[in-house]
Amino acid sequence: MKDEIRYDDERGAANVSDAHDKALMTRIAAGDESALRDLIEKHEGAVYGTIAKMLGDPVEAQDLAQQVFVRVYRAAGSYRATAQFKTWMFTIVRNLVFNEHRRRSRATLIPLHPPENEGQGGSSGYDLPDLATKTPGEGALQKEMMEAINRAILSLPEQQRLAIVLRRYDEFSYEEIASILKTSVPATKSLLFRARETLREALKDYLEIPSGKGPH
Amino acid sequence: MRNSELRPVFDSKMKADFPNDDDLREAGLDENDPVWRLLAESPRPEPDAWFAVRTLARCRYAMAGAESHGISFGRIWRWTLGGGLGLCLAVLLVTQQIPATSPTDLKQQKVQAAFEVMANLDSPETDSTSSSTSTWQDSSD
Repeated sequence: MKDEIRYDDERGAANVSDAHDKALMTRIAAGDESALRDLIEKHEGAVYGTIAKMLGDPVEAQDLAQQVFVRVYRAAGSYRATAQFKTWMFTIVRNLVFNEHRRRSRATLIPLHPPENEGQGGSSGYDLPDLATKTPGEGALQKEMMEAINRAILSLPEQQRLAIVLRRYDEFSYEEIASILKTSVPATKSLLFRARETLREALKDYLEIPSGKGPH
Repeated sequence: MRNSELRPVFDSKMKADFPNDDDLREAGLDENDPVWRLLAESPRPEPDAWFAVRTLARCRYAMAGAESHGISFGRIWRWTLGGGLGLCLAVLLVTQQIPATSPTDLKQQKVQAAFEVMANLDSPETDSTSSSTSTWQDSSD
């Protein structure tokens, strides 16, 4: 019963949020730039975060996330509110990310941020959580685990990766993920199941120990 | 009305308002899954504070580019149309003026005039009127 009430609350909030997004799109189509700013500020975290998780490259993620909003802005005039706005926007994310994957698979890219910087105490480019409150040992272990999780996510096939990122980090429903991935709900569940099993295998060292303590 | 007649209507109406059982069950599974909990240890990266400003600027730039592209296309179209019409007029004028001023025609006219002069020299009227002065006088008389 408690779960049902929470679900209803979440669904109600999602509907309000969707109506707000559609109202913003109408204002953007009328040339209201402040509406565009509101829309960007509302969704930048989800769009950028999803792309960054998908690509593992924060610089490329910034560029692609900006492209998503440019496309949304350009399409505002012709946008028809037939589906949920967020689902529609994440379909753009999916197209751009998969295109980027194909481009990368065709070209041999030399990374602009070589991994040796990380070993010298540099940043991987992600905004990591504040580790200042932890001891150096705990911080290092936490960082190591985060990198292992990111590597495991990046090793997944692109459909599984997007499904798991959308479900875990953006809390999309199965129907919404199926719509974004242009597949069926059972196929989406299957993708998520396989992704979880792959992650379970890749991260088994971290699953056997209490969270945040690192592998033995 | 019997209770059994009411039940299907009641059930279908209530079911529409209730959450999807699958989603609830799966959400429960998600929360209890150690992999799911472990993924939370690596949060989603956040964009920097200037992301929205840069994105807005890029949107403006993209739209300005699209608009200027549209204007230049319109200009090109108008210039092409106007230029085409002008070219057609010029071609018409040139093709009408060529026969009068063509060097070939002038040469032909000169040749024709020369032939006319020669023909006049050989004609009987010319011979009779200018017999005294003709260099081709018959000296057999």
